[in-house]
Amino acid sequence: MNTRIKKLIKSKDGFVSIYTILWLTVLVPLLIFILINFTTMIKQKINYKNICDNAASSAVTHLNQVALTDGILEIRVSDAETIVKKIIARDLNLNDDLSLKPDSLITGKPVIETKIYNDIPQDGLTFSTKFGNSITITKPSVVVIGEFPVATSFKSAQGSTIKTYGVAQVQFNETTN
Amino acid sequence: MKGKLLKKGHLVNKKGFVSIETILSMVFVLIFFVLIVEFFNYIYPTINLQVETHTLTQRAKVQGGLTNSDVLNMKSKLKNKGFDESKVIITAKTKTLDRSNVTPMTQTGTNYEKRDSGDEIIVRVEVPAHTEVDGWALAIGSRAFARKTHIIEERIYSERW
Repeated sequence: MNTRIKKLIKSKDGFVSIYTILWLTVLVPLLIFILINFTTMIKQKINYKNICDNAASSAVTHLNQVALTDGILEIRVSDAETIVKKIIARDLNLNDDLSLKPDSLITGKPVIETKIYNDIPQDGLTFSTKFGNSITITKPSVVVIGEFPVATSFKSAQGSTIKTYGVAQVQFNETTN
Repeated sequence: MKGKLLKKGHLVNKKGFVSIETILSMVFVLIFFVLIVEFFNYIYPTINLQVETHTLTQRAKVQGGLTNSDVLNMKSKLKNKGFDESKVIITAKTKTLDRSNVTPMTQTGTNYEKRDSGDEIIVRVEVPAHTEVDGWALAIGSRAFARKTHIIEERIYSERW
């Protein structure tokens, strides 16, 4: 009996090497996971960056009309905050208070921080975001910092949070009208 | 018969032998190869489109919509990137109005979304995806990348007075 077991253990008939088992069970699924997840994350990162940019760009269009007649550029704080929320809510199919709908594009309520800078020194204002980037603004500006909980490609995975920001400064464009 | 084959060594002959390991490995290498091809087939055009659409949206913000030349330029850019120009759909709309052919900044006119209108402009670009390797991808169950159309949509408010 013992000899039979020893023979069976040493037998190389129908042999599959440990490398093959390792490849099939660990490395190949891991590589596929990384590739698909990486792809989705790149796409989503750009998408959320664009959403923050658009939210900030839209917010800076809401200026205080009374101050403007005196030549002062001042972003209306409450309007700007409302517009930021509105753009993000529409883009991600969320409720107006940014809570989730059943068919929302993210998995949790996003954390949105809107910073409005109206008083800018003549030589500009430099500050750093919580992501370590240094930003210099020279005109009244809106900075939108967002943290978006997203699903990964594999539904069973817990998902992750994409952190990004958008900055926009007030600008005037000449028009013939 | 079986005995004869074994005796002659046909079944145990290792000349021209391909192991089961090799077959399995090659199948997985092929799957991985198809996924890499899909990566470039799907994600590269998508990223390109996202960047181009974002640039277009910023133009829509400045002009209160898109001019005819913006739409034509975008189509031309997409054609240069290998997309079928005739199937590209580019629109800029508010809730009620089409803003895909607004008055350019250099001309006089009122056909554009005004800054104080309070209505957002939705810029939408629809491009048919490259589908050359979709069959391969679907065959191995890679539905993650198999798309018929790339649709990119962005929202912005006009800053034109």
